[in-house]
Amino acid sequence: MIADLATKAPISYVQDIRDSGTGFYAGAHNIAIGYLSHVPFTNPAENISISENEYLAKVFLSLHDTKPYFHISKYLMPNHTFFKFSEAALENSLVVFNLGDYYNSKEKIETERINRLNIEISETIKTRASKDEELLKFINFRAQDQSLSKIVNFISRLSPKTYNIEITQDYSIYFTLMFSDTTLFLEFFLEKSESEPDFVFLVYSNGNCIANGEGDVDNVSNKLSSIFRAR
Amino acid sequence: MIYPSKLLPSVFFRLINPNNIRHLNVYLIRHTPNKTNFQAGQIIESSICEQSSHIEDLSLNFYGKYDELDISIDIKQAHKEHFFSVWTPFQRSRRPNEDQFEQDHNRGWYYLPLSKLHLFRVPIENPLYSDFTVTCEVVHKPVRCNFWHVQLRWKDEKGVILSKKAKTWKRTVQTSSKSFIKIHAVDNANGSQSIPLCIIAYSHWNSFKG
Repeated sequence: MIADLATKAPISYVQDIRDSGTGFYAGAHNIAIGYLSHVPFTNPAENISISENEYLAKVFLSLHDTKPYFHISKYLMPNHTFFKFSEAALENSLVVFNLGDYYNSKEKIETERINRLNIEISETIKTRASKDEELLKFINFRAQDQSLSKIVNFISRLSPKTYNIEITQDYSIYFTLMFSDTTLFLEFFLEKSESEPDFVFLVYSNGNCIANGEGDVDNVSNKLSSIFRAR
Repeated sequence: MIYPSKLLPSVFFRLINPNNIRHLNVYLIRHTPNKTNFQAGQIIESSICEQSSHIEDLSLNFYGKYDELDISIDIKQAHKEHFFSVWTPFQRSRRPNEDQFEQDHNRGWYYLPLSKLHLFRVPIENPLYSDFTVTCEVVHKPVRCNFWHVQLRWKDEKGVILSKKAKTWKRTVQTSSKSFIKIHAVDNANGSQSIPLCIIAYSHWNSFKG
């Protein structure tokens, strides 16, 4: 059995995967494929290949990587369930993840999805800010008053089908969130103004503007919550 | 390259009233700095206009006589004041010389359907002021070197242009305009119709090849 042959991976390495590890359950066996979406690839073509066998998922990693990681697309695992790792082990260049806590409940799956979306959005903004010092100043300022984390949490909880984030020339973050029959445009003006709102939003359905508003993060979240609850 | 005469206003032309062509499938076209403007079928924010302040009175062109080939044309800075000044009916216009304009072949474009834009209403809620409705108006604003130039204007119920109403509306107008354009901008003008000659020119003039 793979588990018998497996060599324990270094603790830091396992911990790293475990901390960020959520992913897709690979079937009936006690083995799963990890999903570390927020860790970037370096050279996937050389280092990683993934078995397409739904029942025995193995990930090949280069052992000289200090932070090995992998990604599997949904296309390979259409009938997935979210999971968390209990253990990661190495067998030669094979990494075997033993399944720990896994779940099928809608509530837990949704929580996991929201968490992942939250990380994804935050990382996207951080990545953009890392290339622009002025933007970084605004982002840090908004991190202090917590409006950035609040709005990212809120957006994640809305669970859009797809989303797009654009940083404008005026240092605002322009979110486009698409749902099944509506689109929410939300602009977050990072620079504080006494006379103007931090946020302006518009909700469109079938080409018509069905709602709009403005205000600070709390006002806007409350308004949008009631709009989306009613739909 | 010779500046295309089809773009120039004629003394026989008159201002186009968008109300008279709303029933037609007329498109507007706008230039962008790059060729790549759409992502997952939706225009990217940076393509809508180069400077955010321009969105409050966004410049576009009636699509038809003015087409994709004309997008690259730009009047040189030193001559903009003259050639971009407003054309008034019966005024004679002069074709820009070769050294008065240049071409930027990196430019791209997007289209907006006039019927969706013109007189589109957005009810605005504002906690500090009373709620009101904003109307988007397409205004024909020919300039000396381009008869087909139009601008978008955002007005309140009394016809006051929003960006001039109060500084406090800047952000609301910006986001509203951008979102509105995001919803309606398209990367093709399939099925577009021409503006009828009788709308463009005075009836006694019939030498225009439509």
